[in-house]
Amino acid sequence: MKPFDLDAAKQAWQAEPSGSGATDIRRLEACLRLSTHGSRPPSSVGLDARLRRAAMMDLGLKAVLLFAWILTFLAFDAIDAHPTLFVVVSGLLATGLALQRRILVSIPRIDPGASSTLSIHRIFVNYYASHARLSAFVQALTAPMLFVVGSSLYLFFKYRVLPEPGPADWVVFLTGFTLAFLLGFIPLLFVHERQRRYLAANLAELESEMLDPARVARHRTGTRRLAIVMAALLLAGAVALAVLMLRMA
Amino acid sequence: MAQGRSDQQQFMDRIRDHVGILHKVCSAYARSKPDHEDLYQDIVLQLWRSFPSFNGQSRFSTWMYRVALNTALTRVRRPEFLEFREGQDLERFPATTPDTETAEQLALCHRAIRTLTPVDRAIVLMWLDDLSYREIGESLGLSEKNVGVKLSRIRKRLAASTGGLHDETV
Repeated sequence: MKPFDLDAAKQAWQAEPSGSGATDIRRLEACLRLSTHGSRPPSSVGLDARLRRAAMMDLGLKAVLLFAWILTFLAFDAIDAHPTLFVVVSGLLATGLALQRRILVSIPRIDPGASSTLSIHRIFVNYYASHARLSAFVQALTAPMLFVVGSSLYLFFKYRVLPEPGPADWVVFLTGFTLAFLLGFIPLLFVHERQRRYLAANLAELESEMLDPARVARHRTGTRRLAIVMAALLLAGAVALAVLMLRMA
Repeated sequence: MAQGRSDQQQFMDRIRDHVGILHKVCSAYARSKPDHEDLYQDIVLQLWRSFPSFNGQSRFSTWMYRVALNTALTRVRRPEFLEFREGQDLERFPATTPDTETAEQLALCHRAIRTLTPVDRAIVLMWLDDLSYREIGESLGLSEKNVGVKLSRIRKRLAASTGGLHDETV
């Protein structure tokens, strides 16, 4: 077996069939059909688009929950009976909506055909560093709010009022709330952190070995200094040789 | 509607001659057959989405590499334990090369590329397809000198890893 030769591999690589056979074209057309007629719009592709989609879905869900919450309290005339609960849940949902909107606005819009890999990585790493935790927190808040709103709606429709909760009800309620939050928050944080670390590693690699102008200047100065020293030594040697030859003569 | 169809036709006409780039990028970055399919779809859709912004300042193949590599490098990564692995799925190259020696070199090359870091894979893929240092640098956001430095290190790493891979195959 011949040893591996990268230059030979390069030639073979370029000679490799480009894959424009009928099967490839059909596959390509099928992918494109997904974007025009199917369930996979191009707006769902790319990290920025996925982040935006997740934020928009969460925004929509929070808006629906807030709307349902207010409507239910108005329909059952329950604001006076449970003002604190109404204000706290509405406030949480409204704050979540405002924060999610802020996050949505801050998600970068990337055109991978117009930006370099380095700049895209810098943008995403900055985004993850500044917004990942907040985004995970805000998104994870939707599940416990769904639990609260859902339970309240169930009780309203069943009893027409919210019954006074006992200690056991509070335990169940708080456990459900906490679990719903943690089950959303921890995986989201894990996913964001994993993506951030991966992008940061790529960025560090792209930025490594970049020619630092100061280092280049230092190197140039060093080279110049070495050339001057060498010239001086040569000159001194030539002078010494000349003096020696003169003395010998 | 007719305009949309004509755009699609135009896109297909441009991309048709460079489908190999899609396969090469997918082969370098996918971890399994389903992952290969997902990445292929992602890249095609991203190319279609970015196509209106192609202004002809660079070669179409260079632009394709830029979009494909940026998509592959930044896509959401699933944890490895969620990937369904299917043995030699990714050993699909070079499936159609008749010359066995060349096929052997290419298979070794593909395997060696997959041992590199994601960024190094991007550099070597473009270099193998004969993109200039300037084109590689512009795509990645690096200077030509930096590309040269990185490539010489990659070549050493590839030589070392293919030595290892070569030994394994003997």
